[in-house]
Amino acid sequence: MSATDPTFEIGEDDDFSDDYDVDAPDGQGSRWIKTVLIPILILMVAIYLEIALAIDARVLGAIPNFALVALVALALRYGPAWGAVIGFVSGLLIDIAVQAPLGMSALVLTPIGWGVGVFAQRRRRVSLAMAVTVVLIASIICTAADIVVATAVNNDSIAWSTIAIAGTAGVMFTVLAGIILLPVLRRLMGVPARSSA
Amino acid sequence: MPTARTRLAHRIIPFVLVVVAIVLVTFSIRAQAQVDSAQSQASDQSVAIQEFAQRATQPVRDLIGWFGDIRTARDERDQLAQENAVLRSDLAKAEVNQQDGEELRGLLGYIRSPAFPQTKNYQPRAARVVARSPSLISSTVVVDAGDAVGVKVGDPVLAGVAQSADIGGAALIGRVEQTTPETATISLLSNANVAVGATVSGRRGADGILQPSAADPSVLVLGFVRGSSVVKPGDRVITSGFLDPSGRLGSAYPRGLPIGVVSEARQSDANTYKSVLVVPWVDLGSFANVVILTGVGGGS
Repeated sequence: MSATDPTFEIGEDDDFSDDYDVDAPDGQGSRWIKTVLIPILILMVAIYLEIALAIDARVLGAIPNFALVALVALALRYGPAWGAVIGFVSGLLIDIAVQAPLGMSALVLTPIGWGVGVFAQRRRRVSLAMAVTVVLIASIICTAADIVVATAVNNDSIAWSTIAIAGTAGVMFTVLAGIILLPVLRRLMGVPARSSA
Repeated sequence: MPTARTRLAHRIIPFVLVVVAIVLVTFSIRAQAQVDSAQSQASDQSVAIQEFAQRATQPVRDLIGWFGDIRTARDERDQLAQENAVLRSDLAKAEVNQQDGEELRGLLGYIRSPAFPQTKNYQPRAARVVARSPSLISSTVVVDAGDAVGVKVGDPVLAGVAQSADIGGAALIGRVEQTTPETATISLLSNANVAVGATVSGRRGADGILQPSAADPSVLVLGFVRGSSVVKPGDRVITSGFLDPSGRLGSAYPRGLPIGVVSEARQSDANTYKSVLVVPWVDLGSFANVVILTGVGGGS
């Protein structure tokens, strides 16, 4: 398939060793950049953007979950095992950055990364519309799990009316961010070559 | 093609990571001091990076602020049609600067006002919020002043109140929960673990304990107020700053720090005590500058 087709396609064996079916022939350096450097860069930028916006740019008490959008894009591309690893690492980075109890975000994002990867593995090819739907479902699950874990760990009281508004706004912003960013991320990560046929 | 062993490893990895996350959370809570120290050291080093990220993303945040003003701008669209994109961008930046300026003017006015605690040698330390949890349930913030400048655990923290000079320009928002050399974590009044000895200004005997409402943490409840005391909506609530006669046991907060205004006082016939609902002067979800009162003694 062409690199410009609007679909996410997972690697054959859920591994980083896939080739990429890009327009120009890639050398080892270019492959390393696309398989390692770009995913790390995407994740770091997403997390920093999310934390920076969380300080004083909330609208209706919420911000887009850029880390979740990046996680979905990466898990759709690299499968369940790497999806879980990426979710775990991004969760730890968020917890360290905001000085939350270590592992709280990882506990939420690891299963989401794994679940999105399993979905991608079973579908093999995921259209952009389907990827946005995955972001929507992942965002709802992430928001609900975030509330449950935060309540259990921090023993915080809950203002359900505030949470309902902020949660709904957060999901909408995240889906909007997904619609805008998923095509860009897919293009940045390239498309794995199919080993046969 | 992956081997059966590779496939098995890939299936096990997610479960192992979830177990590790659960262990980390448990360890993090039980050994809070040690883990916080390690996290804080990492956070100290990341403060500079966070500030850089803040500046780098300033245009994005300005753009979001601009979108927030669109609804109002529609009514004045004909008048503002001649405004070009550069002026709109300048306006958004000016609004952010104005908000910061109002907060800082309020804090400066408070420090210079007679309302500033004079009974001890309080040292005001200005600080800026550098991290706020992206979680929907957020009751702590991190500021860029730590024990290197004298900030201690238990120090009261205030934020500026715009256009409310009659209370001195600032009001209590919480207390320092933990410190590092470069940062301090503030527990806000909306945190269920924070309780403040408070009194209704000008109402004899209307003392109680202020805690966040279980239904809505943005509203505070002054509990254990004597049923015979008279409390009316609009009354001001301040810290009581109690001190026992021996002088050994005292409140972590000095007397007279403004907190909020009474919105409602409830008392059923069966209850001896009143429950007074208090709306804080400061919106606990949107402030960027604070003043930490050092020299209080802290730790209680």
